[in-house]
Amino acid sequence: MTGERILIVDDNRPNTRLLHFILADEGHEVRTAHDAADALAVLQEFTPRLILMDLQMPGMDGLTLTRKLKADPATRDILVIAVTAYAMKGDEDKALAAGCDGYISKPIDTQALPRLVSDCIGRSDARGSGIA
Amino acid sequence: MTDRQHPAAPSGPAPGVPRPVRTPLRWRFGDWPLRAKVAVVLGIALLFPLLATLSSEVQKNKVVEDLGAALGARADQLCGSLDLFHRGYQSAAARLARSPVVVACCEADGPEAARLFPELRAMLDLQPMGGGDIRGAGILDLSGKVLFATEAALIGSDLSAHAWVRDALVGAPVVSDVHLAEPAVGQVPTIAYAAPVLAADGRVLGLAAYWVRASTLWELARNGNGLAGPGSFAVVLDRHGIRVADTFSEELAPRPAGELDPATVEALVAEQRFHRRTRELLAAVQPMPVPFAAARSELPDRGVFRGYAPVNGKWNYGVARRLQAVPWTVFTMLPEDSVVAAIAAIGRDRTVFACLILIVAGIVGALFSALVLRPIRSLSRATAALAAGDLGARVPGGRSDELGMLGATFNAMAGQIQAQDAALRTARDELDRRVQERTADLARTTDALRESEQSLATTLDSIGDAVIATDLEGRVVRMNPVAEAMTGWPMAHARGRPLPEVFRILNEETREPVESPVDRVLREGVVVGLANHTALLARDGRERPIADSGAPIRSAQGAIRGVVLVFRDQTEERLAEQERARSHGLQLESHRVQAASRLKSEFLANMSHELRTPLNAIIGFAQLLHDERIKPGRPEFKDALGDILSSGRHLLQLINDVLDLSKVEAGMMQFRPEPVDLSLLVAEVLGILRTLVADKGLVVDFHVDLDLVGVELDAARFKQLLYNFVSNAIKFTPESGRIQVRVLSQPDTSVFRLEVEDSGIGIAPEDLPRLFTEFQQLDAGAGKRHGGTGLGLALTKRLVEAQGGSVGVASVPGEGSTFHAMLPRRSRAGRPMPALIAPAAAGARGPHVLVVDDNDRDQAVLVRTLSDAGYTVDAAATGAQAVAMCAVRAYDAITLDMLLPDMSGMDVLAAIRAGVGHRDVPVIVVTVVTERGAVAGYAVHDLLPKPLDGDALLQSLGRAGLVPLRPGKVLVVDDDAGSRNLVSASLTRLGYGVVCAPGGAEGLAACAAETPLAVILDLLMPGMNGFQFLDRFRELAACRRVPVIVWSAKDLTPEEGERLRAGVQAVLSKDGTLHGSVVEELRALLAPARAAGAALAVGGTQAVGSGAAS
Repeated sequence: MTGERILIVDDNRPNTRLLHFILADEGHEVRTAHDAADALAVLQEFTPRLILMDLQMPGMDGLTLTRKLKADPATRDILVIAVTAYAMKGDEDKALAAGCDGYISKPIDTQALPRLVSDCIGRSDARGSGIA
Repeated sequence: MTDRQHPAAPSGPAPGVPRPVRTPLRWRFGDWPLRAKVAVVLGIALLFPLLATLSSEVQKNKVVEDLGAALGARADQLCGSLDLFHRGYQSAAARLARSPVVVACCEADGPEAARLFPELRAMLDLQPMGGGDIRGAGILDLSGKVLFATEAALIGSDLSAHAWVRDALVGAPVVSDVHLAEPAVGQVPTIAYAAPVLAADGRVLGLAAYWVRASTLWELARNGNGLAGPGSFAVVLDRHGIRVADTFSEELAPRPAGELDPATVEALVAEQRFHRRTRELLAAVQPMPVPFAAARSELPDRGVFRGYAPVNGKWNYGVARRLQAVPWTVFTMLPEDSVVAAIAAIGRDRTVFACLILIVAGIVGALFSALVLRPIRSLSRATAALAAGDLGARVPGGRSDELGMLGATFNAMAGQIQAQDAALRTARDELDRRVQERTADLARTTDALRESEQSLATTLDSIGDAVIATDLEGRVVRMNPVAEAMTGWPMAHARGRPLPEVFRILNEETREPVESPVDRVLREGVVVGLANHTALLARDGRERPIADSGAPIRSAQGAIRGVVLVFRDQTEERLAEQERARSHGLQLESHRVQAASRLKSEFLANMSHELRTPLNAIIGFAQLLHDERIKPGRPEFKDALGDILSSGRHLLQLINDVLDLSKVEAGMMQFRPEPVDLSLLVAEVLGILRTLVADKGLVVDFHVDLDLVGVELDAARFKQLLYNFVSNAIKFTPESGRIQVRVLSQPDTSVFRLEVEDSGIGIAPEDLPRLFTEFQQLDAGAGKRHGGTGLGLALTKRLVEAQGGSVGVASVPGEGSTFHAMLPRRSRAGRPMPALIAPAAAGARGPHVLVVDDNDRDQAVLVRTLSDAGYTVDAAATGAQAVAMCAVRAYDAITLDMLLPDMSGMDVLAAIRAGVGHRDVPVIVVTVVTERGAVAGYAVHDLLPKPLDGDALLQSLGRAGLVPLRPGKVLVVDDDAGSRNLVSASLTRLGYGVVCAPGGAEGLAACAAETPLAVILDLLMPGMNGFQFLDRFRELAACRRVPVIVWSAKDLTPEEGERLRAGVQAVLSKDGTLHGSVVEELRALLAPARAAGAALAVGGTQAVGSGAAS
């Protein structure tokens, strides 16, 4: 599954570059944002299918941003996968409770990432078409 | 005895004689009847129309003045356009006269000239000047005969009678007056613009002329009709007073504006100005409303004149202005009536307005009188009634003005009088009633007393506490049943016995008897609350804890009659209290454990997060590189490596910080105090950070108090502290901000204070407490996250506190923050250490160069370029600094910026050359002023432009014979290939030769082959370790004085530290120091004399670039 529009939100530049490279290499159309305000600005003119969301960011954190997006009818349908260095017990539950559709802990597996992304989109499509 | 002075007679009237009443002045305004006052006010109002009339006269003069200005502006404007008109044609005529064809035509004979006609005609046709304004052009010979004209009919005719022809042939360009053209070409009013045709040698050959229709002047003048006001107009007269243009007539014929004198008339007739009609036209005077004489005067009066004009049949105001190109005069005028009418209208309006005011004032006066007088009369009536005894008299109310208030006040006063009268009656009645009540009370009290005694007995019997009453001698008078039980004495037996016989009170802890409460009450006469933790010892020897208190029993007069003591059995309470305390302690302990565990897991979670974040980039990119998804050569390849490198460095910093933190926590951190020079340490840290500073264009000042000598502390930890403070300040200070580092002595001489002040974004007060806590990076306002591990400040705090100091911060959001640390001047850990042995590698230092530049960035570039090339470098930011530095050291070369803040470059140069040892020093001027002339007369080795080309500078120094010395090689002994390669690569880049050895034995072999310049040594190596190597190395005669830097991950025991310090120049820990710092340290060691140069700058402002001197 390629050619999806994907937004990466992460305040750590090397990490945004890494994710950007992997996904762009797979043929996705990728944009990046470095904090919540930046992300909201990008969303004004770019509607992604999926967001890879870092949780720990200055200003508004990723969980709050996810809740905000999931509460807004305009952005509710965008899939959100938390990509975070919070990998302790309970962190995944916290992310899913905030409305994230998936959870990936850092360090990420560069080979598995494209598959995780397409799985998430595939599951969502299946739900949308009523097959599941 | 002298006679008493008789007192002077009293000057006032004798007592008893009434003083004469001073009658008030009869004609005081305040005493006048209201009617008279109103009349005076109305009279003053009447003055207004009078004043209005007077002021309209003043206004009129002002209007005339303004009018003069407006007319003058219009006249100036018209003069301007006419001058432009004349000058345009004058210069056209001059151009024509200079054209080669025209000159040729004048020089040629008749037939030859005729051959030039087609060319002339073509040229003049090709030069259409001003469209239809030009009637024609022509060339005249010296006799005034027309050689050539665009109007063929004119060719050959003699124009020598005209004054303008005569004037032009004398050799001057001429503008003619308006005249009628030759009959052959129709008698058109014309102006001729003539210019002499000159031969190459300056002879006059003839003249060239343009004839222009005078009708154009009329059009020019008419364009501005009415501009200076309604009905305004303009007239233009020539030098004789003949009208050449106006703004009102269609007639284009020139007419005299006044009677001409006969001589002028004759001259004009002779000139045939208007051909045969000249005399007739000059006689047809058309008088103009202008001072005719003004047109013929040298310079007309610029003021306003007034004159009658038949043209509009009115009197007019006007002004006169003279043209510049020709002596013509422009008059602009405005009919007087349009001005006067406006002024009259103003006067009329004022009179009407004043009358209206008068009428309104009359009505207001009448109303006022009615409104004021009526209420006053009613007030007066009411006052009379009140005085007569009618307490109910009132003034009708309903008004809210002053009179209303007066009425209300009167009513209130009358009411009060009435109320007081009523109150007096009531008080009398009340007094009677109270006397009766008191009598009844007294009877009741007697009964109550009896009942009270009864109830006291009952109360004492039923009360739960022990109550014992004594007399003044402390003998028992009364006990209640509880007291009987507690003391073990029946009341009947105890009565009359002294208290100590009945019971004793002990201090529970000391077992000592406490002072009897009775004694205290009797002595102090007040209620005594005795301390707790007392016990009562009963007759049967039983002891129980009590709370006790005592109070004096007083008679009704206040005299003490005895003492009452109350004891409460505390046995139960004491048990409950102990239980409570135990459970509270358990609870506290449990909270503490929980909090500690929560902090621990929070720390772990944060740690995990902070470690995983850089690892994500490292592992991710490494995986991509490993899988060859990013291939060498692609642009991403270098980016990926850069990200791995920066994330790796970040990780290392994090790990170092965490290790330091845990060492401090565990009390394992060892401090090695040694005597230090604080200015050198500060300069060193600023040197490390100078790239960051330069990147953001910040200004960094530092100041170290001069009396801070003999400070002993752990230099590495001090640098770490300062590094954290300054790098923090750099992060949060916007571009071109300012950072100040101050090291200050304190009144308490056992400590000193380090301050780092920035002009950054500041910190909100609520964030200050979090600042020194782990993983609490504050957000910057713009949401930008700043680099750093989030541990720096927390670590700093722990380190400083572990050394017996303290840290703090003060901040104003938006203005900046000041971080400070208070440190002991003699650190408490350990004894002072011997200073490092002086390095002996003096032969290794390169030529010493002084860089003088006030620009931080340029200075940094110069210092870096030179020190990288192997020169020893000092830097100065001001001329004074440079001169001072030259006074203490002989430099091999100097680079000099010409634009310094305090002295000119040339003055600096002169001052340096005047000093000892620098008379012939090569000076390389590096400046934006690149003209050689700027340094003329001064002996300058070279002149290099900014921005600086580093190679050019090095070549220039080479030409001066100053080549950096790099003999020998640096030996790197380390079993870790990665470390070897890193150091080796950095050294090679700096121009050092490098020999690498993977172990001690190989290292020694290399030394035997060639004595190294310096050694960088690891300690933990298989086979021969670093210590063994060092012992053997120092035994080699040639290597005894070679500097050695130990760079190792090994934690040193004090003995090992001691051992190393005796034999090496620096010990750097691998987990605290990157290889770049090792190289810096090496360079510093190989250039030992530089340190003193940096010390010179202490106490003043020092540019950061000189930090490199560390």
